[in-house]
Amino acid sequence: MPAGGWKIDTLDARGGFAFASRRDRNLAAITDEDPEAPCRFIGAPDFRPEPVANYALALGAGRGAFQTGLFVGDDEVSFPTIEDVVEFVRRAYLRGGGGDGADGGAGGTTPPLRPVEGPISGLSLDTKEIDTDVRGRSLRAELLNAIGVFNKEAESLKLHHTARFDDKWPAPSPAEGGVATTALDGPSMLASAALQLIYEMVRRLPRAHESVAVARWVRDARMLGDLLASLDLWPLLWSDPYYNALEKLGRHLLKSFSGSKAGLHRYPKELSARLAFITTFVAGPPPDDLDEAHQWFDRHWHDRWSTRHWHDLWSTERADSDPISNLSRIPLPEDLEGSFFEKDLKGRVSMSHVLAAFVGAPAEFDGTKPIVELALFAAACIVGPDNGWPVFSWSNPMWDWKRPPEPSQILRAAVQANADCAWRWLREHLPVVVFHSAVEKAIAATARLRYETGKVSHVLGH
Amino acid sequence: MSAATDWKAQLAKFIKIAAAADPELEKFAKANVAAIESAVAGRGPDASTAEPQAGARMVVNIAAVHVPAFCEASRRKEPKPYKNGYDLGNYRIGDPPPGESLKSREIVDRALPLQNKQRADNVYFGAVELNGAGIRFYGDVCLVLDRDALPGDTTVILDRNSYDLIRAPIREAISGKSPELQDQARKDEALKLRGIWDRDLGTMTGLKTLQALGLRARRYTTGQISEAVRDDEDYMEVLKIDSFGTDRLQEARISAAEAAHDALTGDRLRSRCAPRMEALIWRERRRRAEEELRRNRVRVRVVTTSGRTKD
Repeated sequence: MPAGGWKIDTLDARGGFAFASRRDRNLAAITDEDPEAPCRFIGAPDFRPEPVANYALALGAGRGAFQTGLFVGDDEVSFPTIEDVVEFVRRAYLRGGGGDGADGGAGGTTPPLRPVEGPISGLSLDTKEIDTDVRGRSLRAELLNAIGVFNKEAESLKLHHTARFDDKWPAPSPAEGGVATTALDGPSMLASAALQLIYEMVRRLPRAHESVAVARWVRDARMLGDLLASLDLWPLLWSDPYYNALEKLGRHLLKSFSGSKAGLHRYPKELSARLAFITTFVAGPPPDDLDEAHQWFDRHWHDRWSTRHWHDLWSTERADSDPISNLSRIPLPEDLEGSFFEKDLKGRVSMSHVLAAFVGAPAEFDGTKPIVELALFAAACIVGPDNGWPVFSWSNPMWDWKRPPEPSQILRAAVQANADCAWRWLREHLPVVVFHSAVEKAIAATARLRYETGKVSHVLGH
Repeated sequence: MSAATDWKAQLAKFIKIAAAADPELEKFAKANVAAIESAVAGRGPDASTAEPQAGARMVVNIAAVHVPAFCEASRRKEPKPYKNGYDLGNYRIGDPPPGESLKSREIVDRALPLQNKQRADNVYFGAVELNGAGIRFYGDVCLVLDRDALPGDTTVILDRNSYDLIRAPIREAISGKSPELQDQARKDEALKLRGIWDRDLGTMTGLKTLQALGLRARRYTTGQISEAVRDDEDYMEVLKIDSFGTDRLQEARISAAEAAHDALTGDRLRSRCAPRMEALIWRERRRRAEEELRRNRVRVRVVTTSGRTKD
């Protein structure tokens, strides 16, 4: 063990608070004859180390929700620098965010729950990707590769050692517009993520008689729709190869609302599926308001070539302005839950959890392409277009059902720019250093911590 | 074996020495002590009865992320909604420390001057606070216990953090003894720090405040008194027996500095300068914590200055 390393005295990993001191002796062997050691407090959200004059403050933290020391086996973990401790605490805090809500207080900011009786009908997502030719400039591939390298470095490190990694993540594109981007698969990554999320949302469509659940579901679906609009993803999704999947979903929605949206059958088949989609994810009357639904459809059918009425449908200001709150309402696809998130969050894992978990401990998601795409999407929801406005006034793709539209170069460039902004922001949060694999596992374990009565480690009589 | 401290005598002795025979300083010291005792008791100037919301309280600080679980456990009437280090035995990452326990906590807990043979694992540690937001190092949400949540005639308070017993300079008074006498020596030192809430709090806070602010021929303000009672990391410890739930809280407080941080995060979002993820999680957890506290009918206040609060 390096002499004079920094060791954690007390730590509330989920809370994001820690005391650390530079000392040679292990905490387990500390005696009341030890000299005063330089001690620092590190706390969320800034994680700036602050000197602490009295070591008793650090030890006293163990009276509450602070564990004492950080051990791997019998070894107390030593960090080479205080910056390494900061990085450890910061990443544990982030990864801990991937477990929020499990021990109470989820409130209203959870994804819509899965119907107790299961999805109304089976849905499967089977779509080809666009941008298969990215000329070797694939963020997706580079990021997955970097995660693999990160894991190998963690395995090869000795305990108490760290290695810098911040320059090994894929390079960000230049921040200024008009410059060629580093990667070209941003539209593909964001569209793929969006499609996964739309599918999961539709899978959670409650039964029609569950009015409260349907109301909640419609609000969440429209919030997701707003986010997709702000990122210029709808026109991309209504193009080849995605539009078939959306039409399939539209037909599914049409069936689900067959009583209340019967009026849709007056329109051409493909269009009615799209309209069902619009009224679900964009705007329109509640699904059970038949009269209003007819009027609404007719009005928009007659005005369909006017761009003015789309202002009624689109407003990027409608949704909750807090992006974490928004992401907390978007469910992670069920098949991705079990491998990475705790059982007590079953059915409630949201995109907020995914983002926190990914930036805190990306190594856990080695080889998991969907999570990489979803993390980028979540980052894009936080960063958004640079001025908040999409480039597309969405009209033609929805109404021109006779042929799949080809997204324009400007639109694709806009979506790529969104992906670039998202990646710059996401990269800023990824690990700066690699720790030994056991320390990396400790970071990952933060998401399992719960504020609950556990085994009493040692009780003293008096 | 040493006796418990007579805090009134200790205070009188301090004033006498610090005033150095200056009658003006002595008179002001006594007037200031009276003001401190009134403030701690929750009485206004020249008032004989305490205001229900005013006065010194036991507070505990907790990270916002734990507040929902605390509130949930309170709603379920669980026996230990608020948890101490013993209750949270499994709350750790990495491996458990080698051996049965860590020596430092064992040493301190054995010395605690508890009443009626209480056990250390049933002690819930807090700080004495007058109007402020508690020990920020331990958590960003400060839970303020009701006056009635503590039995004033039996609740033990210490005039400092109990871990001072194993730090300089108190430890030097102990380490000079032979090993078999050290436990008793530490208990003796702990007894010197001990007071009882009802009987000694006013005098102990008076002494602490005078030591912090010094004697002067001026009256202290409420803000100055509040800051001195819990001055940064220098606090008086409360050894509460048994856990508590939200029904025993007077209110919860968050500091103005941290509320400002939340507001800055919101402002950055509005101006399209995406804040860092850490700040976003921080703000969201605090929002949820407030939501849960309000659901349990606990008022949340922002402390703008010591002694001054604002909704």
